[in-house]
Amino acid sequence: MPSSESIDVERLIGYAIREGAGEVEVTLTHTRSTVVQAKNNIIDRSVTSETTLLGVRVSVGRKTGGAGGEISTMGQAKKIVDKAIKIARSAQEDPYWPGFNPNVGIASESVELYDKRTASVSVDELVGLLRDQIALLGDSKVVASEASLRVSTGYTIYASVHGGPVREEATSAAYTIEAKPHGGEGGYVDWYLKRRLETGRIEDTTRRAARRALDSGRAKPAGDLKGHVIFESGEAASIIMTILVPAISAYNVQQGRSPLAGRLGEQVLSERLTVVDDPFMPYETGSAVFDDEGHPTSRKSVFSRGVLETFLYDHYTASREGRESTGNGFRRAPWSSPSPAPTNLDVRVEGSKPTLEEAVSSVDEGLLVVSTIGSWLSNPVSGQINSTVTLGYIVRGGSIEEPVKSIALGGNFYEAFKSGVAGGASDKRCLFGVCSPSIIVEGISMAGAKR
Amino acid sequence: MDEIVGNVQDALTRVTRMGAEYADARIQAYEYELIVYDKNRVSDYSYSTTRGVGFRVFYAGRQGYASTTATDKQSLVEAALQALKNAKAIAAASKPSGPTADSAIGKDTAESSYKVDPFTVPEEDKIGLLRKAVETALAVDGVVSAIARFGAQKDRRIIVSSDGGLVRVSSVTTGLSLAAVARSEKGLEIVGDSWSRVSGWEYVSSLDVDSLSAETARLSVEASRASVPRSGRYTVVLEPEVVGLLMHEALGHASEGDLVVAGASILRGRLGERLAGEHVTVVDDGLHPDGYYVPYDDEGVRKGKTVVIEKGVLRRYLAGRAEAAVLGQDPTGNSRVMNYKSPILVRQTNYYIEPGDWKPEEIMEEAGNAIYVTAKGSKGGEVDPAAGTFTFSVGISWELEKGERKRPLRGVTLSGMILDVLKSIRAVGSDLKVKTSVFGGCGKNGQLVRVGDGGPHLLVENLVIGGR
Repeated sequence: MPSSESIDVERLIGYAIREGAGEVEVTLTHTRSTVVQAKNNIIDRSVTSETTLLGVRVSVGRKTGGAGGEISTMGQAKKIVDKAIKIARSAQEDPYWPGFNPNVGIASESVELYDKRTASVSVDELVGLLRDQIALLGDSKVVASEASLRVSTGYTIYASVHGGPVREEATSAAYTIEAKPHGGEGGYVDWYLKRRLETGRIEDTTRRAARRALDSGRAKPAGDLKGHVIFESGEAASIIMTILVPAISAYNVQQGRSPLAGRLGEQVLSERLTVVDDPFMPYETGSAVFDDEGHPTSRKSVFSRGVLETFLYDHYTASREGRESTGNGFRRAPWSSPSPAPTNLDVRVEGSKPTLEEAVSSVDEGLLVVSTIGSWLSNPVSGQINSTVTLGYIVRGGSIEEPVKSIALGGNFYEAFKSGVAGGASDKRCLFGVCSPSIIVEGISMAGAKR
Repeated sequence: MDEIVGNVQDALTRVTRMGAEYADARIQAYEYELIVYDKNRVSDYSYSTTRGVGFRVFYAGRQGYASTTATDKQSLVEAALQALKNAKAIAAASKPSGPTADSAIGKDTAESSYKVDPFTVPEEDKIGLLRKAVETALAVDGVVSAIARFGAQKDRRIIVSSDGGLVRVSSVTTGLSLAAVARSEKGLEIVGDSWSRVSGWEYVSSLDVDSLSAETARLSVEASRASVPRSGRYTVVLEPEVVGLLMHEALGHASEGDLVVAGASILRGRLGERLAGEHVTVVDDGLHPDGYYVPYDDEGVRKGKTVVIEKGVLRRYLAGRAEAAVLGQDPTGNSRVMNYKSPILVRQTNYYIEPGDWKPEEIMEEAGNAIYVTAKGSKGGEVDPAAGTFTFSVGISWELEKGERKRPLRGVTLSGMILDVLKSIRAVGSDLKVKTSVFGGCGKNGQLVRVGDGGPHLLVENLVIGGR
């Protein structure tokens, strides 16, 4: 395997300047991953890969360009620099171009991102752990139709003409399981995603998948339903990620694509909801000590008791408003322009009950939503919710009753999450940058498939 | 790339001599360019490249994968040995699952045709096209924001197998997309559209950007003033692009052989069963001229036109070599990977419903009072193939009265059970359209691959529409 250690980012910056770049920033990431996969309870694949990605962005006057890709030698890295300069020279001038982020550094607060055990786990150990999960299903009348366990370890280096290099090492562990009842219909997909491998949490995930798979097998299509919708933590995180995250990006606000433009200081969400962008949550996937522009990250309140307090800024959007970046510049790929995105958007519900069951006990009539498809198709510009329930439970008289499926959820996020929030639980789960507990809301339509 | 084929073959020979039953490799060189013009500036102009070799080794019926970006002889052998080691680690922990690699692949070279390499076109020409698209959209009254993208891709792959197979596939794809955001007293709404083809710069430069942009912008204004329909069951007319979404998401995924083998498809055990009326035939076609170019899959198996549903009866699953052995059918050329280091999955190529006899205007007239659903502004869809449940966000739609378009609708979603919907197709149009995209594709197990989909206009009864 090639070594990324041979890539010297400071030499690359010097090379870019000599070749005519006005400013230059370089991102180098290196990742080593191992994944083992099973189908129908049989472990049938193991994949290892090692990837070194280089991203180079340069400016020539007010014109910018980026290039990048997989590399293994300085020669390839220099070709990428050449391409970035060529693109920048021919690009159009950006009247608002402020230069690259001048404040390169690491947050004053530290956070756990790297776990030694996760970094050193072997293929054989992973196979053993996945085999243990399949064994856990043994007595529960379900089969793992698909299961996958992945660990990664690697680092990110950022440097620019303004500072660095700054370096961050991190690990990650991801587990997904699709459990199905033996010989029956239905199924349930569950997952675990953190920066460290936690055997106990992975086993909890397997057990929950097994229970829910059995429930899924006996779930029936429901008719139209009325009452509260209880979004279980993962489902709440998914809706918030799709609708709210794009709306709090300062870039979308400035470009006229956010429904929250001009609403700073207003009551946008329920008084029960407080939302904090927190890059210092231990071992969460959104945690970081610097963003993709090398700017130190920071904790900030986005909604305080429902009142919109700030948008998220990268250096570009911050400069347009004459302010400092909030440390939220993140990229689609190391060679892409950054745009504002959360680290971990930590959603808190005031008056939450310790468990989901206790939270549900106050609901007379409604639906507990634990699995959906299509919530990512909701509309962040209009706030329109779109989601189809593949497994839910009828809630009647405060208790969780029979499983149901095939219910289309609709309604407007901002109406439901402003005036309809009735409570929550303390069962927080993080999904791609959003950490949410279960949330109880009203004002969501529930159209069933039953004729 | 060709210069390393011999070394790759040697590495494959090495692992088969060490006990591997079969081994193959994918050599890939990939380039992608993306330009984003956002309202008044080029917000992103980037180029990326991927190049490497990925090995797959079968040992005791298990698959080990490993890859390398270095192409010297030693690195290639090390990667192949790592793949063998991975396969052995699994084999030691579980029972063999029987034969998985059955038929030998041949030798061939297949290249998509194009006239002008998009990577050689002056940058100013590409930016100029995007600026024109955005300025045209912003000139429409009510439009507050517009974003246009140019994308180009060059993908070269060589598939080498331990039984002598050697297949080269290369293609060039280009495209343009536009999204316009409009504001009205009812709020903001976004409508987008895109135009991609397996072709060179000549395709994008021939587009009538002014009229396409103005039409997208006009629709965004109309959508911003539209109402959200009441949730419920409706008779609907689906335009071809929505039909493509429906076929790809709701039926296509369920027909993927790896899901069938895993018991994760509603179509398992239904071969020979009638799922729809005689007027419904559904195919997966790797060579449709308006779709994505897949003459061979990433195992080197030739991809032709696979008839999945023939006159309403389920005839065949999509299968790679491993699934074909289990399912007792021939491989259909649907084993695909996102890139050289990814493991093989069964994927669709261009999935569509074959045209029928109805003219589109006859379908509208037959529908009477219904909803006309389009994809402009759609974000795509998702399916639970085990349950057969699907959901899509579709674009601006219209209430139909006596077959005439009346009031526009927004926030429309479609959802339901695919087996119910197939039986509810009452009429199939004669106007087949297939579409692909250089900007996105189909995601499965973390891998994105380019696909195409489509169909003619359809009249469907009793479809669940989500709204307010």
